[in-house]
Amino acid sequence: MYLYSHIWKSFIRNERWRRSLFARILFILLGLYFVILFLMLGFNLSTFLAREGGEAAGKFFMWILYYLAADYFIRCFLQQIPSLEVIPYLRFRIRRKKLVNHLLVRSSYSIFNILPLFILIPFSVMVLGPSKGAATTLNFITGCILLIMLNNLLGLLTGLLTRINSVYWAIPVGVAAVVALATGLGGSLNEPSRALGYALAEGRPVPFLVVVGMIVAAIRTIHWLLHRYLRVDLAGTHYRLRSKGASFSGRFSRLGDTGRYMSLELSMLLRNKRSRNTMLMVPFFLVYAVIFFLFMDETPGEFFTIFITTMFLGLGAMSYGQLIFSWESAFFDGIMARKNDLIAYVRAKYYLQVLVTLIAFVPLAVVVSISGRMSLFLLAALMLFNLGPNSLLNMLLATLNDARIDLDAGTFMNYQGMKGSQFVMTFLFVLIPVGIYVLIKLVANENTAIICLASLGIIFIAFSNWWLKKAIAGTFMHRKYKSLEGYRKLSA
Amino acid sequence: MIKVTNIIKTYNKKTVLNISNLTVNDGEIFGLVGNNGAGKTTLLRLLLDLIRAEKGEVSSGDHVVARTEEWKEYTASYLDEGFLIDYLTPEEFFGFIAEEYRINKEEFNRRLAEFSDFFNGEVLGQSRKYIRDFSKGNKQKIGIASALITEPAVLILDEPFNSLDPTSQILLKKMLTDYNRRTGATMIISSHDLNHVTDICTRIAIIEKGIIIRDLQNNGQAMAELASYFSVRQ
Repeated sequence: MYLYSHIWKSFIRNERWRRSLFARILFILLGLYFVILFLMLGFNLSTFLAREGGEAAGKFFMWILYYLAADYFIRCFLQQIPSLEVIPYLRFRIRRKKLVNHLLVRSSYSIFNILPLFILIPFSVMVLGPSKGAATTLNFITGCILLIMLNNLLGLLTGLLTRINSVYWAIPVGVAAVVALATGLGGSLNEPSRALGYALAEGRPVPFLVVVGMIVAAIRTIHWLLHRYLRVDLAGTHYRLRSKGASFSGRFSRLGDTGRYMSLELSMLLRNKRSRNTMLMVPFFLVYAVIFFLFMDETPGEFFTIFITTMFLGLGAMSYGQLIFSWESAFFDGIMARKNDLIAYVRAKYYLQVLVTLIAFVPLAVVVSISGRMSLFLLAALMLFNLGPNSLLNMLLATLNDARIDLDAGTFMNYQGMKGSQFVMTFLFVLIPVGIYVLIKLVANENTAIICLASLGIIFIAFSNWWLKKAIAGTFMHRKYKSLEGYRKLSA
Repeated sequence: MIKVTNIIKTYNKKTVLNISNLTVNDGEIFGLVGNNGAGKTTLLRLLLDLIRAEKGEVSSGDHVVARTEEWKEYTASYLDEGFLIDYLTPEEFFGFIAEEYRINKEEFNRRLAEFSDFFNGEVLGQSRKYIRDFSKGNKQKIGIASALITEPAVLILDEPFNSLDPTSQILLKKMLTDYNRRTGATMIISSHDLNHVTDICTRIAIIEKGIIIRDLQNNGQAMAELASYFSVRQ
């Protein structure tokens, strides 16, 4: 039992709970927000399907296999493998079997296992219950929970295999490729998926037995694998696998010291899990932007379009910028003890924010011009606003963040290093340019609004040297001791 | 010359360092010994302006370390793994430091070659192996070399012999004494190992609960005095 009490202690004694009351309230509110969001999605979907009548259940069932494939794929990349948590216990007189069981139970405390229940249960109660009876509802819920358990174990198994040998990444990639190919070649998983749904709801023993059999097989394989590989070097295996990043030294040598720091920063961004995952937001949002501008038939309001475009454009740079000093928190003692050029260091970070924004801007401009849903001038003005006030104020705010970051941790639902004020400011950074645009457009016209946004951006960019030297580097130096003390705290 | 004057450092209202006056003269190899939690690392961090004292100041030459950064031009240090940049290869890390200190390529290569025995063929040329993938001992070697490669006039090392194999410990002692003899550099070295400290230091201070309680010239009697002090405590 003490293993579970240790999980609980590590959770409640986490440094993040010692932060301000505001941050704690915000974390709770965020958690509630996601729960309510999924509950609403579950209820709305169920209400919609219930209205459809007759084949409502069948419509829901046909997505089961797609969901499971997507869920498995995402788990492989984002689900935390709790193997590191049992490493300290290896030296004690605890049977390995017990540790593996603990690890299996620990892996079930995952957001991926909880969120689908918020859709599954309302659907089962509101749609299946009234039309097919309690037994069918119970059968279906049980079947789906077993499928979620299976996916959880397969995600864990794949995660362990990829740590042992990177060749196993072929499994999730293969699953995604098979689903994409099957769909692209005119095939569909809808029918087998519907059949699975009905089989589970009707309580047919064969699918239940197959799923349970697969769960048992997955558990036995994980046991076998961990008995063989659960050693302290399992934690380090993935490091070695990833030691193949490109060298960036000299890449920006024309920019002198600033270029040197840019190379260093780029190495940090691309060679560490947390920063690399954060940077993955840029292509992720671009894919979303392509869907939004080119494939969505319904045109949302202008306010929403500009809001979401500002997000597409700036969220990557903002996510990088709000932790701009914390990224190197583990190395800051060394940086500050050595001879350094702090202004060039800060400037390098600003230039990289600019680069990330420009990388998002170019494809976005192509998508926006093809769709014709938004003025290119407005997009350019938003980009300038992002490069000016948003990036610089974001960096200024980052100087107040003294939380340490573990560069090897994943990103999903990982708020390490984040403060409540930063969530609010990220939201404001997206909202402010939209607000300025809408207000000026109301009192004047669209062109004036675009010119005002662009001008504000240009003014800030023109005075960026002052911002970087006096405001950002100045504030950082003023808070240096407090920041360094925060960066040394391992459990932040 | 490094001078610590009326320094008081507290954590959560508890005084962890209280030094009224400590001067380390130019060219000295100053050893700092003390039990766990005695305040050695806190003192070294204060010397490097990484923490702020509630009272007092540290000066290096003519510079008060908390007020200017000029002292960084001639000071190098290695306290812990936080002084490495672990997502770089050793070559990239040394190269970064060489550029920071404006050491030209030829000179850099010459200085790096001096560490070949110390590295024992396990640090350089490891085909894109990042620092984080090295053993603790090799990380320690990289950290110490990254400080020495700048050829500083002031060198500050915290527990430099930790994690090193016996051969490397002997080599390091030789490297440090040779460097001191060649350049006249001032060195401040903390250690738990009384033998190492007495082997290389010209002066040794015992720190206990944040206070310097003995300040000894290493004239042959120091080892006996240290041994007697620490054995009494057992």
